[in-house]
Amino acid sequence: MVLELLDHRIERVSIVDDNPEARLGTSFYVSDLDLVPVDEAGPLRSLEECVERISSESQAVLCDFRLRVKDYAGFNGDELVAAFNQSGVPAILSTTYDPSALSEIRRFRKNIPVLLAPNDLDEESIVHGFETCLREMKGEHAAERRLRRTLVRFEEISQHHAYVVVPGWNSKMGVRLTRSEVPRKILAAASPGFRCHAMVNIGAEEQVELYFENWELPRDD
Amino acid sequence: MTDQDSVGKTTILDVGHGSCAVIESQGSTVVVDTGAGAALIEYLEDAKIEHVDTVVLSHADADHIGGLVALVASEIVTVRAVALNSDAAKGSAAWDDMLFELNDASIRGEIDVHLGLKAGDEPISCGDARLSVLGPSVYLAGKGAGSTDRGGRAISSNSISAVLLLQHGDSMEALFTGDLDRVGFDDLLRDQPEVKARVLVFPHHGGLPKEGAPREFARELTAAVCPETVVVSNARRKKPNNPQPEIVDGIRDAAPTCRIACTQLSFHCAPELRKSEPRHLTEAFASGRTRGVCCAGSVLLDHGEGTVVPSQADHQEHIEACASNPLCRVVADSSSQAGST
Repeated sequence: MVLELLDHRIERVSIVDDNPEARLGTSFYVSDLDLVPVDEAGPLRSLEECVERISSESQAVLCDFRLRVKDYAGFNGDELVAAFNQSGVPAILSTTYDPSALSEIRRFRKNIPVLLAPNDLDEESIVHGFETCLREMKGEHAAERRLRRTLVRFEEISQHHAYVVVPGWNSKMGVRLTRSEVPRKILAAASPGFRCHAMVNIGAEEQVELYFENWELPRDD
Repeated sequence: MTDQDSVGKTTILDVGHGSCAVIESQGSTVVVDTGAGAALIEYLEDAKIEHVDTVVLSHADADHIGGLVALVASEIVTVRAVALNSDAAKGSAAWDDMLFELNDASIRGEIDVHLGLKAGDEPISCGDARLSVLGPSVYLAGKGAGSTDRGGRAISSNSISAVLLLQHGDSMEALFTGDLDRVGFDDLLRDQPEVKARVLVFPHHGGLPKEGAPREFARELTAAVCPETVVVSNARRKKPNNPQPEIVDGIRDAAPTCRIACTQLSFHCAPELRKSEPRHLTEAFASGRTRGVCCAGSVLLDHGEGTVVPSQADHQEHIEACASNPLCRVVADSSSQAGST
């Protein structure tokens, strides 16, 4: 069968996960949609090779986050999913939402429209997820994904992290960023209480959905 | 429905826990409170409103001012003026952040900031509608939050909530009350005997005032305003679980048959969420829409027709489908109207 979403025809869905049992479990959902699950048993070579090969074989991807396991892949699923969505192949990332994973994923969140916990994967969420990815490719971002220029206030900067508040999103909840998520020029200027602006999807309901782009130093800096 | 562009409308937005109303008339836009988060900017962008003439902030609580931070920083929507009262007692980061942004915008000449809202100020125009400031009084505003009133009662940030009356022609369309409490209400009535309006946006999201008997407060306020509709801008959450039953009881004491419309489904009314396909919601952005927790959702007041959308009938259909214990039900038994005036 073929699933048609927004002029995109999906027949084959590649399943990327280092765990064969997890791949099998996910394949049942794909089969239930009358689509063909393509099992990516690995090892996956380079990111570029992987994107090129899978894009030529399948029209959509379901991918786990942690792929750097037992030589399965030299990269994680966040990077891969972002690359697929940038190349026009709708891809959903699956993760258990542990804090360290979320910090890593945020770097690529701009091109990861859909993040699902394994327990939330089902036929409906998969179809909805692919459609969401395809809409973002057309520039139609859901409210919770739209970037808006907004104030960011730094509360604390540690060796590895920066703790910020985005008042336009939630004035009471801090957000933990890894230092690598913040441009060096901002980190160099930042101290507790420092304020600057960035593009943030302030319509996000959950902190896990937040991502940051286009940081700006204050205008008098 | 009449042509909105020519007659005007006010949308009381479902912003979750918070307050925000957008008044649009003849190309002008005035915002009363901004909620928190992105709801206001979502609404403005969806409605293709690129300029706001004035933002009026009733008081300094984050759920009334938080949305201004995003609005001031926006590259899509411009704001000409912001009117607010200072609040030396408010030490929140949200207040500080908002003032930081306003200060910055003011220095750059992008926004006129008017500090000081009090009864008797020049009304704020919005097309052929106008917003009059009924409170706080000069006395209360002058004393300020952190001080005490004539009776020795503490004046809080909520006490000095700006009370704003929206008028269209001779019609008193709506009364916006921020988080007005007993102290502020007593101050209001001392100098403003006439506060009637068709729609009352109930203070503090239908929550309990810090001082005084809540039912009595709700009864006296409702009796003074004599509304046809009471709108409660609330969120479906367990804490606070608004509107509070005592508040609704007080409203009913004074106005047994007036319509009560909450933006979101209270846990009091619907302990369990039933799946529904709400057909009554306006097209306006509503925070509760995607989670299916809207009750009335965003409420639209048509200035020309004098109507409230969603209609009571359409809204009632949704309530019957979703609420096992609706607080807003009209009480048929008049013996429950304890102490009504």
